[in-house]
Amino acid sequence: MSRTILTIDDSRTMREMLRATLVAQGFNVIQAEDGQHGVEVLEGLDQDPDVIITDINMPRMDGFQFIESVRGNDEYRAIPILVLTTESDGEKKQRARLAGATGWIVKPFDPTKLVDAINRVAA
Amino acid sequence: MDAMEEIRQTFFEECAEQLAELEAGLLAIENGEADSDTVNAVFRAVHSIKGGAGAFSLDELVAFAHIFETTLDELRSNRLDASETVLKVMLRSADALADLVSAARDGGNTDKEKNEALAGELRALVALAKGEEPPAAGAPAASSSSVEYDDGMGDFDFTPVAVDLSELMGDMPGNRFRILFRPHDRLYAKANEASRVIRDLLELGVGTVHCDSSEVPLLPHLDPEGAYLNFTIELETEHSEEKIREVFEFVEFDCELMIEPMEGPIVRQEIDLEGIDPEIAALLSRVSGGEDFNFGSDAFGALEGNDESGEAEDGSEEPNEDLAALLKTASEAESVSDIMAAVAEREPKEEASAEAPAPKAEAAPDKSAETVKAPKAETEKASASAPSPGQTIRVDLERVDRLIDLVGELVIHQVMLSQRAYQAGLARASEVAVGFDELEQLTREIQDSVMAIRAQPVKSVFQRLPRLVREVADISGKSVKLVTEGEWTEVDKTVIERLADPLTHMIRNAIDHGLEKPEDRLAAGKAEEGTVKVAAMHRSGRIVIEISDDGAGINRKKVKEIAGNKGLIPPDANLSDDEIDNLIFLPGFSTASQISQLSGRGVGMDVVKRSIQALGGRVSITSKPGKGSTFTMSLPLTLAVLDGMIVSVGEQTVVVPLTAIIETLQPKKDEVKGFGGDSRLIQVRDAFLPLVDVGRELGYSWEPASATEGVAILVEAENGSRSALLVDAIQGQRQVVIKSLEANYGRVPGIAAATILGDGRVALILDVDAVVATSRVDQSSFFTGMQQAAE
Repeated sequence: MSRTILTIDDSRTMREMLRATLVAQGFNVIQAEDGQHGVEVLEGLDQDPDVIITDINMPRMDGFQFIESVRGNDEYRAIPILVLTTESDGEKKQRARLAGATGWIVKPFDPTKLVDAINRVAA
Repeated sequence: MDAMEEIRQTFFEECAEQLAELEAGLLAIENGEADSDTVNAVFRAVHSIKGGAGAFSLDELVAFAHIFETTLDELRSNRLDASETVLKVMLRSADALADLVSAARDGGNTDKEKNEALAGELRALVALAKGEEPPAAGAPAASSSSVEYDDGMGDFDFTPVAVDLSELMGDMPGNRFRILFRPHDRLYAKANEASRVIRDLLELGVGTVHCDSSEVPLLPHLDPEGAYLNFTIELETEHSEEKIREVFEFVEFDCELMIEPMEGPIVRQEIDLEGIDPEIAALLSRVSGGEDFNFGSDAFGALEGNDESGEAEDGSEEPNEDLAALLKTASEAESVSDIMAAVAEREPKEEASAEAPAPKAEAAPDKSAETVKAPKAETEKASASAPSPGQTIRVDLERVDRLIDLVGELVIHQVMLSQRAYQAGLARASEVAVGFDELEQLTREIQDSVMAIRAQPVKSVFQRLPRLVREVADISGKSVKLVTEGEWTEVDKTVIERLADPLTHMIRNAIDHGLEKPEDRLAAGKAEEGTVKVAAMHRSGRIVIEISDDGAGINRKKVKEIAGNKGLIPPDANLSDDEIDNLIFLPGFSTASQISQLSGRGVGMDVVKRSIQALGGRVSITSKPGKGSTFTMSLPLTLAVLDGMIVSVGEQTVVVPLTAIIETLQPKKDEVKGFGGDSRLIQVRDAFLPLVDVGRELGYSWEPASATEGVAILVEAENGSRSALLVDAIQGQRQVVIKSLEANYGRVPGIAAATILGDGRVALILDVDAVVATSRVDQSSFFTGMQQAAE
């Protein structure tokens, strides 16, 4: 069964980019537009996604808050979360890790690295 | 690649939105109307552009966006004051970013030098922000404020490990490492798994794994989410230490890690990981006992050879008092399957362990499924009421236009159908007629709703104005404040698109010609900063856009002089103030002495006027000396339908746009006066207006129509001048669907477009201004002829 990835990004471009890349690699993709939406989508799912990929800078609820919210919920806390970050965001990586991110993907990502990161954290 | 091209397009669409948000945000900050959300949104806009640009390898754009973003981050964290100077740089940077985006989209070039200079200014701001914070330079990571942006790891405190390169490079393949891996609780809390790390590690080569479970406490003291296991991995690999560290990338701060080169060969044989369920390893890594585990070839080998869990599940292993004991059993067990079975049996007793984020043993899923259900019901309710951010859908414009076209046809056919039914003798009071009425009502509503899809706020055009104003103000050396109103006023998308050019020119004109120089303004007792106001509003089914300035107003004496010199008006013409003001719209009028690099770009107000008229719009000006001028544009809300008066001219049916009509009247014989040649005037109350014979102007007939047998339609042209159109009869008033004549046939002077009437016939829609203007030319040539004769 193919794995399901929940992607959360406020940028349509990044969402489409992730979808195209992941679908081409045989993943199912579910999308959300910001952290708040991500929580809502997650709650509406019958089955937890295998991995969540989230952006950091987003309106309403940012990536940090989203991760904290997931990690603070007994139901979802075991879901691996990858953070999308830019090369230069050393501080962000650290904050994301403190918030409970499982790992990160550096933007711009190439498909191999993206899949590698997913495989690394997915059960 | 198609998908990529589509995403690229999405990227540029999104860029446009983000640039607009960026500019609006910066302006809000400048006006002191910003809260932290605004600043965040501004930062996000640039950040997103950078992210997308990176994906498309638009390096120049990425580089500029990066330094811009860094500066905005300083602003966001209040290390940089939002002073006027700072915002000026930011606004110019926003403009430069917009240029870079356009260049990336259309393949054009940008002013590299200018951008580099601007990037330098931004860097200076960052330096300023950092310099102002005293402890920033030497402070340790405590405040996390001293972020080094070009350093991938920021201010992490990791200790470099000395690596003997000769050792690493020496005898490849076959580097040997001893890796000590001690996960912390938080490694698991982040949904990482020691087992997965080890799995990835063993993919790099051949090795053995020892698990030290000596730290696992007795059950009463065991924290189900605690990390008690330490691993020692001996690995033989062709890869370098760096590659090994990469495996630990996600967990290196959540564990103790030591990697040291090893002497001597690894004695264990190769491990085949293929047959091992990672869950087993995971489970074992979480639930462990007091014995040393050997994950080496012995245990795995046994698993490989004897993986019959069905048999193992029947194992009659007695449950022990604590996990340590269990693990003790496990270590004595013959195969991993036996261990699994024993653990699985114990699992239900371990309430707490089911909550642990570790992958669960086979007995667990039922329970976890139950715990999932109850809260889910609640949250579903919540998510139903919570508005999701995506309340809009994106539709290809072509589809909308196709729909509009079809609805247009529907309207025509609905009208045709009812007309034919009545012609065939349908009684007005019949039920079918009532049905027709309802159908008509519905069709109209559908049409209105469909038209509304194309309607957009003028905001998209207004958003471009601040930049324009900045640029023009800079070049002209004037200080200008832009005020916009009614930016949410909606109008058809096509109107919006074609509004940009005339609006741009009018604003340029207002700043360049309308506003005085700062010193002149001060001398006149005005504020140094001039104001240009752009306001949009709906007024009687049209959109009206006013562009007003508080400048000097039209210099009527000069305008009249110029118009006279250029032969646009007779030198001794007696004109009202309004008429003089409107002279600036005449073709060939250009206040030559004022030509500057801005307004004098070869586009006169006559072109502006023509482009507005082409949209079915009107433009006029009012001006007060010393107080300023106001240009008023009035445009139809849609270009797809038009309210028209259906009239007969000769054998033809013509539609006169209702917006141009003031009144209609039946000319009486003594009201119509000959005016030399074929020209006639009609007296309307105490004014004489030219009577335009539409049939002759359009070439339907050569003979002048009888004025008294026809109907005169009083119309107002764009310049406000009035004329009377002479037609044979009025058939009625109707909304018609506009069909482009140019697209289907060709341009015809005096005709704006065509439509299909209820009876299926094609009717032409009159271009009132053009018809009046051509008749004027005839009259004025006659007028000049008279003058020349007199001389």
